[in-house]
Amino acid sequence: MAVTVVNDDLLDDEIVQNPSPYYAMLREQHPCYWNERWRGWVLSRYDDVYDAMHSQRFLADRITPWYLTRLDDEERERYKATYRALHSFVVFTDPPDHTRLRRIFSRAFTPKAVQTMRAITEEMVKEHLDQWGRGMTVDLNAQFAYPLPANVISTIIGARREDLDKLQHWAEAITTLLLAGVGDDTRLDRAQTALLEFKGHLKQLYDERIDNPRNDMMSWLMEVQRTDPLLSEDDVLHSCIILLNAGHETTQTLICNTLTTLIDLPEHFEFLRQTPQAMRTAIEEGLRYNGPLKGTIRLAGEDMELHGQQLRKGDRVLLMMGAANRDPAKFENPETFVPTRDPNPHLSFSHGIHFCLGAPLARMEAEIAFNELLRRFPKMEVESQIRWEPRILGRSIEAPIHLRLG
Amino acid sequence: MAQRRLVAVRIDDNLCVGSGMCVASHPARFAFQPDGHAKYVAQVLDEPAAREAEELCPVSAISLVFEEEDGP
Repeated sequence: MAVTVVNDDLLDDEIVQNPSPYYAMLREQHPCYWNERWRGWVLSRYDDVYDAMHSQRFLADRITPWYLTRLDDEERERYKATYRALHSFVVFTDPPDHTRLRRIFSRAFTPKAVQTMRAITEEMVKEHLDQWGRGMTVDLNAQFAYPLPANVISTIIGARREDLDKLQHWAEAITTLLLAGVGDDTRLDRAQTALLEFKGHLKQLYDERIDNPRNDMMSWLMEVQRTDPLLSEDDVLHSCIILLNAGHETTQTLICNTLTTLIDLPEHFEFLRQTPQAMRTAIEEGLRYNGPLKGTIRLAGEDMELHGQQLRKGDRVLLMMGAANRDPAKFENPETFVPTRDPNPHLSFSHGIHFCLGAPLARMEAEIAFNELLRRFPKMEVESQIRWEPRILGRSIEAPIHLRLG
Repeated sequence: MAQRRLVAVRIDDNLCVGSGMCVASHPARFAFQPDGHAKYVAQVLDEPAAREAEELCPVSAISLVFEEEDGP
């Protein structure tokens, strides 16, 4: 019998550029695989990833064990601020803390709440695209995919649009830490500096609102604080950091990944240009096909056995949504982009209690953005080479993406 | 005048992602099923609870089914 040697380098260029064959091999031959280099288990089948996302036996707080066991005393003291901030991010908490925080923040992102942002999002999309014309070559990321979601989430939270450059700088340092990119020893220091500066900046906005509340999320959270003594000022500031971060980085990637995919498939591009009401369904397929996140991390909450492997309490587990989303056991023709696929139970927003808080917002932003883009520019061409960034969790295209408008 | 009476609280399994917003808000009314989806499990139909859950659901999977009935 042939023995497959599994490549443990998740940043190997061959895997990064085209992960599908690697995913298929894992799903078929090693559904629960210990990756020695990454020091954790990798789950790749849809059912396993789905079950782990819905199970209380898998924990989302991978920050506390990291802080307590991977750092020495001196480092713990040095990175205390980073730990405190990350630990209060709703994505890294488990019940009951998670339930409490999630219930507060989810109210700001319900489908109904998000609809109140529709008109302003449409206005922002037009504002950006009014500067574009047929025959031009634009930088998709810098001139649209980055600033649009960043402006929307800044407006929701109450951050100033003129501070966007600063936010981008901080967000990048934090994202680098969270998405475990190419090994870089300075990333913890950079992330901590960014977190502290970011927090200091938001604290100014917070203080401005003590006597003068506005119609934004920061003011609303301060109002919640009056009746919920458990919601601390730190909770508010840290949560605004993660929401600002998550609110633009991933939506930016969703726009770039899905638009470049559609441009590559002229038939579907034309269908959607003529059928804007089909866009919502097509965006779900974009999420499934090349979602902004390939994976998310959990910790085993107890010893358990899976596919004959022994997982120990505390082991890291990489839930490969990218692989699950192309599992033929769940999706027909998983390697084909089918814009009308429905239902489409992809796991790109995660599932279970950590299901993306901002999903309704991201869906609305993407729908408005793509419909307006396709309406204005019936032909588009990507002039730059599509190269995927070497990241373990994130799936994004290296900037710049040069787009020729026609 | 016709009045509306709540007759069912439906959760679309194709939409439900098991975020648990309904379960966390009204644990006596909603519960997770083994497959990860939420379900309205209470015997009584609690309209205020169902309405709040409907609004909080991030994927709009919950719908309230009403029946028209003639008033006095």
